[in-house]
Amino acid sequence: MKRVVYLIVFGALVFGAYFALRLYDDYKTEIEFQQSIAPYRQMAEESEQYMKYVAREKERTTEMLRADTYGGETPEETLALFVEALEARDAKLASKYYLPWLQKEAEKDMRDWMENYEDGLEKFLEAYKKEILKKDESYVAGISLDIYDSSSDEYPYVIKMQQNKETKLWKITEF
Amino acid sequence: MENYRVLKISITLLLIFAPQDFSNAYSISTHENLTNNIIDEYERLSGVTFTERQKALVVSGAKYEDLDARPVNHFFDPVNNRGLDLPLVPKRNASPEWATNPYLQATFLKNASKDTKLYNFRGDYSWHRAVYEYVHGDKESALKTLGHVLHLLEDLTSVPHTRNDAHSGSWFDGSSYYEDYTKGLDPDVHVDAIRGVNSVGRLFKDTAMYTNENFLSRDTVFENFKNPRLNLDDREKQFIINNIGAKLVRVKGRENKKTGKFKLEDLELNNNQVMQSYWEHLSRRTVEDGAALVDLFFREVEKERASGELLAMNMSYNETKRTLEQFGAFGIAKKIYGSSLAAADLAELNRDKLRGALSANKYYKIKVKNEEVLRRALAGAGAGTKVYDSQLASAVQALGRDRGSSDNGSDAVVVEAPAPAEPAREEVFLF
Repeated sequence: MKRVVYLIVFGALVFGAYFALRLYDDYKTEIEFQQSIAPYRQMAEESEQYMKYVAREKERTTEMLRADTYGGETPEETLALFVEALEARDAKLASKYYLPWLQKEAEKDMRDWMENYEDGLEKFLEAYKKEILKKDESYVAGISLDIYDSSSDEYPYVIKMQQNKETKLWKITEF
Repeated sequence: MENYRVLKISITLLLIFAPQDFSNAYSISTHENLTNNIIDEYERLSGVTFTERQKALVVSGAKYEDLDARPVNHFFDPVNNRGLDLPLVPKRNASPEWATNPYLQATFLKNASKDTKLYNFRGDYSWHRAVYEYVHGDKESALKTLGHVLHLLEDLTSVPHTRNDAHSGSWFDGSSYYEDYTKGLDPDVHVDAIRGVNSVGRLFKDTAMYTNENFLSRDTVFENFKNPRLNLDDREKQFIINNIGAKLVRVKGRENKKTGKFKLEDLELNNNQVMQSYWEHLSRRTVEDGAALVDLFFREVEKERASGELLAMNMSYNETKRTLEQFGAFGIAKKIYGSSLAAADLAELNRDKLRGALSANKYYKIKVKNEEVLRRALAGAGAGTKVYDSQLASAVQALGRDRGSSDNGSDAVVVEAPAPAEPAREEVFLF
């Protein structure tokens, strides 16, 4: 009887040990597996974050465009308004005819032009008054208005514009 | 232009800790049209006919590869062999790896588990999955997956994808002129012959190199890469023509009437004629290489039918680990009971299983000590010879030096050091 009990206990111990070893092995495998996929998961997390980030920024872009009411219904109209602001030496107003996210930088440039390069500004305004305009519509995005001074051999003033998709008004992208 | 660039750089720096790469790509309709053209040309030149449904499945795969976060893996700069790589932002997978690694796709999409077989992962639309499904599983799913891989190849003819240019389309990073221009365009390319290619990786590299070296993207106009070079002597009217005859960029400037010297004022990529020229060259290349990819697919299908290689390696992480560990168990048994079996004998006995596990482990990367010896043993078994050859003898010698550290009852492969007298005939044991 005793021998039977010993055998049962021994059997249970062997089985228990085997079971414990299997559990340990499964646990070890799981840890190794999780470690092996960790870098990919991290990359996936970052990518998802970025997707959200871009979506937010795109929404912000749309909001900025919707709120922007400066500009004309044609490129020529926007240019006329821009020149008007320059003539009034109003750098802040002139910069409003740029795309919203370019305005801060544009205001700085305009102010610098007005304060330090008055001659250059006058020259541009003179050229504009001569109304030698070439409208270049060969762009994938937008158009450019080239202002030539026929008395000069210099390269024209090139003003690139794009239509605000939300308000349909024309905005300066590059000058 | 300069101000805008400075603004972009500043914003990039401000967003150091925000992951900030994301791609647009060819529009869905452009992918659809390119894929239709590819299938049409493949049918015409190969004589193989797709049913309307089969064609629709391939096209549907090509349309849906841009879902979720997948597009961050659609970049490949072949010059520097990298995926999307922006300053201070972790690198992304290069598209050839994304296209050919099922485990990578599954883990990236959080669908991996250690008990799922390699070719059963949800969200995996990789190259070998397509071949596997076509031969051993669901043919319709295979064709859809082939479409996903075609999408990746098509993206490599979109210039920013090969020049590390994120072109996210948000306010701080403009979209791609090329992708904007090609929105909805329908190519009508006729290919002379199907180019024979032997590997999808090679094909991806060739395609990406063609695009990278011959064309420019918005943020890499004669910047960041050696080619294409700016040479004002290659000017024809207002365009610079590259060495494959494409209008590379529009130049703006004036010629001095007295000296005849050209003064460059501006280089413009944002131009319809330039983009039309890009499209003519790049859409042709897409269709040529796409047809080559479809041809390669059906050749790989035949190869798989004959070899069953992918079937053998369709193992889960767990199965792969256990299979490789079985060789460890053999090693212990050998020590207790003794055995005259050599590595090659063991490899021969378990050839298919071992081959499958080793192949699967290229993806799982489970650490197995002396895995190289296992591979060589298998190669020896495959050749019908025991692993006594001189090539392996050198490995034996090398491993023999490390024996002390690997002979520890773990799942390592232990190799007996060769006797000095007969190094070439020394047996190689797995444990």
